Amino acid sequence: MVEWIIEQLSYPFVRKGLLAGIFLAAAFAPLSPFVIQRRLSLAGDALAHGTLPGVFIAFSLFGLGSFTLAIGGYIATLLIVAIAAALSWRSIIKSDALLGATYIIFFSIGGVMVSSGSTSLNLQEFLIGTPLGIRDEMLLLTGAMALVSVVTMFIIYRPLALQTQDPAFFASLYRNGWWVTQGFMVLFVLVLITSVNAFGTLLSISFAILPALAARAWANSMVSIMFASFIFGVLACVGGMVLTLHIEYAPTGPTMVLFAGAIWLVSYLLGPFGLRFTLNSSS
Amino acid sequence: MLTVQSATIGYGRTVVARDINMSVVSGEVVAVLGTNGSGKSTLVRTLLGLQSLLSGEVGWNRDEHSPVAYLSQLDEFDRHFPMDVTTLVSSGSWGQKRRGLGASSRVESALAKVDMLKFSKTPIHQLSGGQLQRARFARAMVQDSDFIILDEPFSAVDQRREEQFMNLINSWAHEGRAVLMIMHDLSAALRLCSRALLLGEGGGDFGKTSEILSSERLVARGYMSQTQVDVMHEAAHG
Repeated sequence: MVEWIIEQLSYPFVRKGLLAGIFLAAAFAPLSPFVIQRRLSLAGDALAHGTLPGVFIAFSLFGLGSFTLAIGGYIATLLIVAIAAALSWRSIIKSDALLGATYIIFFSIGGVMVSSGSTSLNLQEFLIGTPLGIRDEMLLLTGAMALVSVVTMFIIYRPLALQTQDPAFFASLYRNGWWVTQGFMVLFVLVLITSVNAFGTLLSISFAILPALAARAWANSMVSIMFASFIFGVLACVGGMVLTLHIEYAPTGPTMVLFAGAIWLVSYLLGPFGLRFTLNSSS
Repeated sequence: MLTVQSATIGYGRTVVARDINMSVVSGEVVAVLGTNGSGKSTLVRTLLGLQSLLSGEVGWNRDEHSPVAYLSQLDEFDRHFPMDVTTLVSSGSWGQKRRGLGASSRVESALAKVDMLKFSKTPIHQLSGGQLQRARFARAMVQDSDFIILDEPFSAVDQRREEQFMNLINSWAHEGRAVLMIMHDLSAALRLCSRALLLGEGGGDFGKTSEILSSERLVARGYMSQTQVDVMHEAAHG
């Protein structure tokens, strides 16, 4: 067993894939309980899907550069948010429907582009990513993002917690507090786009949701949820990686996400704030 | 401590209420009453500096750098936020520059005053509405401000607890703090508040609570219909 692990770790692509996963887990961990508490899971997923045309155009123009891919994704995201926001201004349609409509059009444009463009990458690689094919500069970008995320969240934690929990009370303390929520949203989108690099547009939201949900079943403070979701995220990467190496042709990204899903399921069944809480409070 | 003169409040270009005059002095509890949409929340948001005054004047005679203590409405509050009671109560000192010294003892004594010490480690999602409101009162106390705004503090609180909260609010006034309270219960306003602001029909009346809450004014400001007032009188006089 130990020999097998050492042997696998001697392959650079295994080490890089694992490291990328650990960086992503660290980048998402401080954000994720806020993503859940602020109901951003689906909106975040939608934005990640909608990055597809931006990422593809950046890829066609500049190749596999991490920064250019990220910038392409970011521009697509900004466009989606701007269009959905402009449409919802004084509209009789609910804003989530407008976001849903906008992102799915972006996603389809991206799908058409990727399928009809003559590139070396196929649609699947854009959709579910290739953690094992991660490049050095992408790894650096992911690590830098993890650092930025942890530092930023350390700075804005308290005001953001107040704003999330009791917005009126927060407003009474911080008269110009818009930078707290805006800063959080920008950070969230940046981490999400970094995640697109490894997990593709379909799965990039996974590490923002699953490890934190698992953690919530065990923990009842924001900080302990953050630490637990980091650990669960790392576990999912390692577990997914081991499975991928054992089962031939198992795609790394989805396997890691499935592992995270399994951790959530177990946590939900066993944790004090999962199923047990539901059963106790209904009786 | 607070003087409002011929103020017009509203948001954007929408005027909610005109010509509001009122004042709050230290050691006093002032009620704000009115129908839905009469401008109670707009007034509070204006006083907190979240909305600008459309015209008129708001004058503060206090250190404006120390924030006003504020008890927000319970229904705007995320009750499933992962947090225990002690953390919630401590968050009253988060926005303050002079935190640190004695903060934890202030939290403890505030918890004791609202009879919540035994719940100090309880996650807030396990509290009843009344217990949660008690914890939020404790947070307002930790803010330790000379001016306190309470937004419908008695919602989700049963009658017996309401009495306890009233005593607490009275004790704040005795300590020399000024309290402004949005409320619905007329009898509670009569018992607790020396003066009251009644908002409605695009304006407001301010003065001694017993005079402001007369049936004529309540009808004139749209707070009650004439029929409701008649029924009340019949009930009161047999």
